[in-house]
Amino acid sequence: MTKSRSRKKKKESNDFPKIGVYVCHCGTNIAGSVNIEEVVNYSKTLSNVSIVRDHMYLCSEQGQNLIKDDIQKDGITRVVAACCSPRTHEEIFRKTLNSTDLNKYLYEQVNIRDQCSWPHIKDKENATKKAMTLVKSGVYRAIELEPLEDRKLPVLKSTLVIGGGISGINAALDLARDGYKVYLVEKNPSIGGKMAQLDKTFPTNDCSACILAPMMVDISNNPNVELLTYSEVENVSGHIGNYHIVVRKKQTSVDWNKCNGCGDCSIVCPVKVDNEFNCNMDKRKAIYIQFQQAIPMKAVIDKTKCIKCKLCEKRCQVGAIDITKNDDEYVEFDVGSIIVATGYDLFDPNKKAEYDYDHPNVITSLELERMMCASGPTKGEILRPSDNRTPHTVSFIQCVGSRDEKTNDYCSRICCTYSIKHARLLKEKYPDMDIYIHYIDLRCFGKGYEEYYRMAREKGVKFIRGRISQVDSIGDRLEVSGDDDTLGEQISVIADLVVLAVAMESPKDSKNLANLLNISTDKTGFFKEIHPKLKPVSTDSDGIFIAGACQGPKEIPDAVSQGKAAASAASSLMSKGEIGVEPLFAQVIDEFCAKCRTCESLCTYKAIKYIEDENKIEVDIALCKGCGVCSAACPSSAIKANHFTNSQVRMQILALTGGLK
Amino acid sequence: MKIVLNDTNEELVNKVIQYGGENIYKCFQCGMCASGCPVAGDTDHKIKRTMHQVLLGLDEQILDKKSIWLCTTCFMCLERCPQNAGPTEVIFALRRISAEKGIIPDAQIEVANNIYHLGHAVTVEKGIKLRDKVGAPVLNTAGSDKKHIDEIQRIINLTKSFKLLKIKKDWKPKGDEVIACD
Amino acid sequence: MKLLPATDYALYTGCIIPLRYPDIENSIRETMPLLGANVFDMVGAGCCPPGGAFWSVDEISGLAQSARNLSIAELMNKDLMAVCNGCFCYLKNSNLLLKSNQEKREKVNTILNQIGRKYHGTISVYHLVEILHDQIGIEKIKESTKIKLDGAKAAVHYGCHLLRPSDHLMAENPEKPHKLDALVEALGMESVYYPKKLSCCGAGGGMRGNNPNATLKILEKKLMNIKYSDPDCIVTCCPFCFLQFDLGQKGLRDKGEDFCIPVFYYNQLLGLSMGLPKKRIASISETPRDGFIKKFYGVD
Repeated sequence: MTKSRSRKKKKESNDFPKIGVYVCHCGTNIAGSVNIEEVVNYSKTLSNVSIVRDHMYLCSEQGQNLIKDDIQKDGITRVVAACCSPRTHEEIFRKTLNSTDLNKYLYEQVNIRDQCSWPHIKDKENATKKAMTLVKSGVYRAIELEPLEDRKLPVLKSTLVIGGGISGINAALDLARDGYKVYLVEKNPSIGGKMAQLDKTFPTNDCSACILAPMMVDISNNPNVELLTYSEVENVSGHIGNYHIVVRKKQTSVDWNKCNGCGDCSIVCPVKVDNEFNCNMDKRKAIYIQFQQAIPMKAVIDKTKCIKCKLCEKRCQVGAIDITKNDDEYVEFDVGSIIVATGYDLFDPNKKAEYDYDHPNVITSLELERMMCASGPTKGEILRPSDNRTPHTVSFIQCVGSRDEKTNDYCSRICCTYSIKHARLLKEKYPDMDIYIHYIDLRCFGKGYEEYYRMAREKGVKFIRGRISQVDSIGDRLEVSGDDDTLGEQISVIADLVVLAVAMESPKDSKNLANLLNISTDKTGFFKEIHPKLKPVSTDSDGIFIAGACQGPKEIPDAVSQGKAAASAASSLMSKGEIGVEPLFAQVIDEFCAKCRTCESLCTYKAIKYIEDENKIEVDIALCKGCGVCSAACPSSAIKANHFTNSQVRMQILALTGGLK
Repeated sequence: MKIVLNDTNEELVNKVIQYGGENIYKCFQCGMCASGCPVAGDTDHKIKRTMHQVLLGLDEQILDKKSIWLCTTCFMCLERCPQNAGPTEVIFALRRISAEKGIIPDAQIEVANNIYHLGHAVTVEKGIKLRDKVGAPVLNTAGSDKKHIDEIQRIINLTKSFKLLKIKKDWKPKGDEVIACD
Repeated sequence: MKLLPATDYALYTGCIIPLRYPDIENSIRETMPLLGANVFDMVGAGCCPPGGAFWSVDEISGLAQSARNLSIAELMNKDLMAVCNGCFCYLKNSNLLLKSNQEKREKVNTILNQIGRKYHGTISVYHLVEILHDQIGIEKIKESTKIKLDGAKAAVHYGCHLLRPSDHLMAENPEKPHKLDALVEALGMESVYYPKKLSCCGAGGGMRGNNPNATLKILEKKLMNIKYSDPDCIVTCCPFCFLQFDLGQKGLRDKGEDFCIPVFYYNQLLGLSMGLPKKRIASISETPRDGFIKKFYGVD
């Protein structure tokens, strides 16, 4: 767009600036501490304002119709709404404008809830004054608003799903079934995630493997899914609708096209190493298949442990192994959207030295889970690691690394119910076992969970309210010292086995992934959704969605729901093959531009490029976020940020610094 | 005894905050403090109950009883409290409030008077004899000279503690027993 | 670990060491210079003062008395070496608080001005254990000792106010400290495990004076835990804990209980291992330790 055109356009729309101001009560949310009447009366005194109205709920159909009518009948050309946050409601009112002849970017929203009524809840007078000032700044800015048109971007009908746990599997399956191409990247040799390590799942106690494995098989059989296991995302470039992805396939030294998963190689391999899948409670070989139901059922050589004896190579009947292969492979592809489902890590209980995790009989809940599993290190028998005897007394310590300002201050949500599950399963298998659950609050919030808790009580599990202070080794047993809230006394339990209900934490490398994808994490390291209620799987990078425990602690049902929600969000983005993008990007006014390239060097999003052949500065509108850094820095005002032009911002500053008169 | 909880007396909790227990509102009654307390098993000092009583404003149940003076200030509760609510700090605050009401145990009074009159928490004469016996150098700390003790007395005279710890001008130590130090 | 150079210190003895266990004072005065840490007297130093009394009624009064002691070390231009956990805790806490909080510092200096003193905030407070472990180092201690205590089992008691609150006391894992254990093992002894090693001896906060029965009950529990490993002695680095173990065991014996584990302040064993005379450095105790000294040092 050239300068003369933009001037002309502006003049047209400024011929008769008729501004409508709409003040929302939001029930008592705003009206409770902002005097709406005063704000309305004040707004009427502002120049160019021709209509001022207030409404109990402006975002209701009735409220929106009010605005629509004024535009259609009274010829309002600018709309200023003084209500709540644009983050949630700007899109709603823009649509209202769009349903009339008025350009939807001739709308300005002033947030007098988050900035006035909420923070100054006890100071109505000043909250009202602040609201009036903000309305004034909105009106001044509205005068300078320009009509803008959305841009269309093509969208590829393919998705990258990062993480092959239960959430990523569900997202991938839903999209693949709808006909989209899906690349599923998993860092481990097999998909399945943490759920594959579980024995049974609450609240129905069905076997984890039995409900998970069929889905894993579906994934491997679906022609739309390209499974990239033992792989990690190396680089992401591009933008919504068209991302370019580089994936590093770690070298397995096994030709998976030939490998039939017979496992003979593992049998002959002489190198024993800790088996991560069984929480290091037993050994695997240097060449191994991750677990019995692995998908793909293929062998991998652990390069850090292999002694290169070549026994496996000789044994393999299909000639799949070549231990001289060392280099990682790289695959590249393009996708229209990305779903992140990287799951969680467990809290390291060594950080709570008072619980003496060094002791062999102090274990984590996941270690117990592996023991309970028929395919686990003890074949389903519960044995004290120190002497392989069945414990008589078991103490469960809750909130290890959760609800604790020294480690993680959030609640991990699942630990109450999984400990109840463990206690129940132990009671079913060993009815005489003496079981204590030491808790702060029991949060069995899900559907069917309360009943699940009741059944544990009925089986004789003892629930003790009070945090445990420390665990000490006493002979071949453990003294668990704590407090019983109800008794009001200190208690101790002499236990044979202590199970620590360790917290869920964001994966250690999530920060790197966040940087790679340009999405945010919250202070706990989990990926941040745009809105906790209304946009739970969207991120601040359009086209990238999050699902499952990488967004925050959650149990299987919620992780599945989010996987499906993310698939649905990606699908609705991709289905039309194109999307409209807000035109909030920077625009170069070529005739003013001296090609100093200051803007290019400042742009965080690498959206600005100097085109040497044409001696031109160009903005890639798909990459540009409209942050305005370039515009502020340009020495000759040759680059403008749409919707945040210098004159618009100047008017706002004028209004805010000029007082109420 | 049934306790009516209506209209919490916020005066107490506000005072606790003012006197050093500023994080008390973080407490969520998990019981970690009571759980590792060395005293709770053998006395009626129940730190978790005390925290809760402060939050509920049940001042007569705390301040009139001796239990807050039974804390050994071992700081285990403060160290392990998952909410950083600072239970030991709350105990210090309650002791300060209690002392202002004139409630203070004899041991505290005795130690304070020792320090005021002798410069040390314990009697000096016995110490000099012991030093002589083991060939320790001549005592030169506060207790060795009236001029040092005078400095300490002038400091205490200028603070609230003179009144709160019931310092007496004519003081005779009860005995050579060490009753408190830290 | 990189060792910091040991240097000159202002020795703050407190109350119990100079007036009840001057043999411990001798052991510190005579061992530390042999390891390169010279100690100088803080003439006129008073009580720290204790948390159980002054801090428990009025913070400023506690701070002002601490500041007076700190100002003595400031005039000597030397960092302060505390040899008692209680003194360490309250002096270090006061020093940090006065350095960071201007309002309190001004209040305290108004009071100190009346006696012609001023707190400047120019020195640091260290505990003897930190100096031995972090500045002198285990190797130097091993080299300096002549007699190795091979086969002796020690129950190490850190004491509360050395470790907690951990955010401003000694640099240690407050749930798994190792420095005093390492120092004890440097003498050739085995530092044995016992349950609830970090729990309180029961003396502090005014407890010993306020409730003689409860203080002995807490001690009894502590001793029962210590007995779990049947040690030859208890080693501590705090004179008040020392006193509680020493006199407290006598109190329990008077009640007919059987507790008679020898108790040592760390530097007493260090001195004996260096060949220093027992009479000067380890001769005052109600719970007999001659048997231990005879058995492991061959000294009568």
